[in-house]
Amino acid sequence: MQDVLLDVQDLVVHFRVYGGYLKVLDGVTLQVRSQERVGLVGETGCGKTTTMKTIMGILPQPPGVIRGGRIFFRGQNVLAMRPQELERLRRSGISMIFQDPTAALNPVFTIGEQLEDAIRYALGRTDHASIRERAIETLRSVALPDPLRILESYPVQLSGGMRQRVCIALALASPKELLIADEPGTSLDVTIQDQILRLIHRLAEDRKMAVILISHSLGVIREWTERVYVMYAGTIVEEAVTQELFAQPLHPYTKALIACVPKLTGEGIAEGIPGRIPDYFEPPSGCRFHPRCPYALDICRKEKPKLFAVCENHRVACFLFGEENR
Amino acid sequence: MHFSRYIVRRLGYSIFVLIGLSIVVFIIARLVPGDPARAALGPRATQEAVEALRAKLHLDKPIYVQYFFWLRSVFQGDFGESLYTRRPVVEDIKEFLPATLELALFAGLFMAVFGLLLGIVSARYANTWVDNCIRVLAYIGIATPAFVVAIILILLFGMYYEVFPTIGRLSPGIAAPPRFTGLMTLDSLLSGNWRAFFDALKHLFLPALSLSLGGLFQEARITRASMLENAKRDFVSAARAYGIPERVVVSKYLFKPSIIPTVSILGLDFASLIGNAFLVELLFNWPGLSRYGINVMLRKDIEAIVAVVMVLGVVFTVVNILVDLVVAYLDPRIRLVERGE
Repeated sequence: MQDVLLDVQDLVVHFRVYGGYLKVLDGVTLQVRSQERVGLVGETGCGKTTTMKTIMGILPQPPGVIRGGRIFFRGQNVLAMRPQELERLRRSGISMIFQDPTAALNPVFTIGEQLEDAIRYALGRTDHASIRERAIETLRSVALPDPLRILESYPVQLSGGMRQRVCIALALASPKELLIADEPGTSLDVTIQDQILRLIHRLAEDRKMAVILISHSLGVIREWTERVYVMYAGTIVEEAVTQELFAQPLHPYTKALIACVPKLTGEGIAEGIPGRIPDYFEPPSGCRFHPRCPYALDICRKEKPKLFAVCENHRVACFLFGEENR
Repeated sequence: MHFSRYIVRRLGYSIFVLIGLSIVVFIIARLVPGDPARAALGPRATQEAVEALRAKLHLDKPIYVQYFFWLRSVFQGDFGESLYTRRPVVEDIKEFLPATLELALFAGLFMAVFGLLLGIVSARYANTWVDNCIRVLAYIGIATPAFVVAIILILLFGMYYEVFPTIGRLSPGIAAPPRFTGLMTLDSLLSGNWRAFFDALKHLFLPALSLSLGGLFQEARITRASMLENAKRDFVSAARAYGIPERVVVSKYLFKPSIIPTVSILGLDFASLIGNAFLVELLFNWPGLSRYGINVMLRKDIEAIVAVVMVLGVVFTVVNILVDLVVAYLDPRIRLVERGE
């Protein structure tokens, strides 16, 4: 692939808990090209946020342990970076919008204090007037009215939608090449969520940023991304150009996920996927989806399927499509 | 900022609390069995003399009338006369309160400074041997009553290694500084008497330490818990994600929200210090109000009892207001919610 900005290979992350390890990420592989909008979809608890925190070097360790894999950003090995290099990466390379804007804003500092600090360190500025000016500018760029009042406000004084915009402003206080948006607006109502996604889209275009949009909503993924990774229980099970994925889902999990979406035209209630995300303490052997999979073969219990290229724009990790099963 | 309104409201509440306290204490002191007038004059006094004293003290009137007489004189700065020392109670309090306040202030300082420090170290090295040592010490420190600590400290640093004095507020050879505030350290500083200042500090060290130990470890535990709790929060990860340097993340974005519970508990612990001070004052021969308070209670000296309780009530209230203000200053959620936003 040309012009790869972020390249994650076989990332394995465990969490240390009392009496053992939670084997959360089991070989996550994904790439993001410059200015590309990539979706990452999967059930709650499948490791989407863990993957992103690891990419940014903000995975709490302990309890997190990186057991294997490689992460390259602009060709640089992120996992080998020293703390100062990681800080530099986060100032000019990657930034992240957190799932819950209320939790992501520090409750005891004003927005101004937090935003000005982000600007001060990300841009290495010391002149207070220019920092302030930049803060106002940044708030304007996320379409927040009355920036002066917002700078003086504490998070508790703002509405949910405003907090989400402030989080975007914080993430984009300095120019970035990749923005990770972790379920932006999920905690807000649908119209506000739509505005937020629109804003992220516009900012990404204006600033020529790549975006990883994490969501458990297929509708959001379909509307706002060019390429999708489907994640199940800590592994990537399918990867395709967005249109292709929705037109022809291959992995049984993806199929089930799409079948779950209630259709306005359909009759009755959509079926859920039987079973639950597996226990990470003792995950299933082989393919982690096999206990829930209606088509499971013998080999699925024994071996972990690799991502297999069905065609140029579509790869799937399933033995139903592996060469040995053709 | 409507902070001033918050302060005014807080002061208003406190006045109600103090009035309530005064009524309760006043009634309890009067309900204690035995006739204070008879007790004051002794068994051999004539009935007429007792009756005369009762009339003089308004003890022959209904209790609510007595209360209003008392309240009126309190507003004139008169807490009545101690039936035993035969001095105005106010004089006694002026003499004994500063010693207790000074002791409590230093104990409070120890709690705040060392409690926070230990808590931060414990959180920084969580689940290592450093943290484990501090936690074991904390259990021992919290479980051991202040007077036991005092005895151990006296034996260890007063008798075995004679590093600290164990009696009174100043060494016998040193002249007391002129009395401005009654706080020995402050008075000696104000008069530029360095020798008295350091001597007073040395005298304060052991009693303040033994008094503070329980609260100190309590603060350490709370600080540790809240720092570890907040470290897992998204706002800390988020601050890192924006490229803010680690030292700023920890010393600013993690530290400030984490010390809020510590400050709240500090206020409660400080208030209970004064109550706990009695045995420590006794052991260190400290001429303080707690010791005085216990003595007057044992003697059923009702005017003095009411006065001591009221003074402690005022100290308690003032400390609580200060703590609430500090917490409200640190935590905008409190002051903003208070004004109904």
